[in-house]
Amino acid sequence: MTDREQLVRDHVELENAGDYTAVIKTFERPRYEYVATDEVYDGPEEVLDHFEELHRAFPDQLIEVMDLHSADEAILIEAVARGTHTGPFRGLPPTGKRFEQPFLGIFVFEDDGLVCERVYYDTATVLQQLGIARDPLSLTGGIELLASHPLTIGRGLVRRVIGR
Amino acid sequence: MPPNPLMRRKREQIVREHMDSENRHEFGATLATFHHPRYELVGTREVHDGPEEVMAYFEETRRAFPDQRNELLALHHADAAVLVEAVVRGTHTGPLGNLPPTGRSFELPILAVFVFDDDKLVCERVYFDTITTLRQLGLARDPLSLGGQLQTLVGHPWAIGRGMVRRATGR
Repeated sequence: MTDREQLVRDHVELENAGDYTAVIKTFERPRYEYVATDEVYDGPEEVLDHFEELHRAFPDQLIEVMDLHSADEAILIEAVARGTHTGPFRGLPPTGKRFEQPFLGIFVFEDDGLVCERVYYDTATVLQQLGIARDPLSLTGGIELLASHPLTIGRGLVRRVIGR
Repeated sequence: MPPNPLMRRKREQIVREHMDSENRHEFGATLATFHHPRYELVGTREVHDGPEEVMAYFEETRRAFPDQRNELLALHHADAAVLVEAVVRGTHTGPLGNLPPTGRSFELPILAVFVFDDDKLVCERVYFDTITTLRQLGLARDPLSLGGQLQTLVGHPWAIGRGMVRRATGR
């Protein structure tokens, strides 16, 4: 195992242990980028706040690395995060439900220093599992969509009928 | 074992031809870049396996988004895969499942894992956010925005109600 691979494995293990100060030390410059939501946490304070917010909402969260890909400027992991929503999260009260969220994390290196973790994941997956969103392509999701977005759907139906 | 320069070149050529042929709408050529055609879409847990299913998948997405195209942003060589960061763009001018066309455009960042067995492409596994697309088509709201929260409350009174009770009773 290379030094970088070891660092990434340590990073994940420390995160699972809830030792966030130590996780931050695995970075040369701490930075998170969430592609789906355009969220960026830059610098030790913002990254620590972010960890604490997640820990309050999902205190038992654990990450399992399924596959690790070593490239020239990055290590990429395919992983699954699992947890239970037992604390408040951005205005959403705890639902008590469990989630299982596959994600891909890119650990970006400059020389041997970790400078960013960029995360790709599907936000709908966790919301559906917490029971606060439905698959819009399922039947109940479609009905809910029609009820909550009548204009968009209505316009689409008109366009389909008149063929434009 | 890390791929040697020759292997890297070969794999990169396959990945680039795969993505370019999609932009040229030559899906027969895209299919031919696979040794075994297979898509795994992580967010929606869809798997399309074998030439028929993969071709049907191409046809379905291009019916919904006939102008769909990709732009490669970064390419990472690993031992058994080439991982690509890309942006997919398109306009929703055809039916998508039960959803009639909205006429809106989307721009979706994706990460595609092109899985190789030696120099043979055997799977493309794609990580992306379904809500990013639906939001731009006007079919979903950010659940943490005010409008989204109201919609969540209206559409999911049970889940939210239970959560509020749990918060009030401290359990």
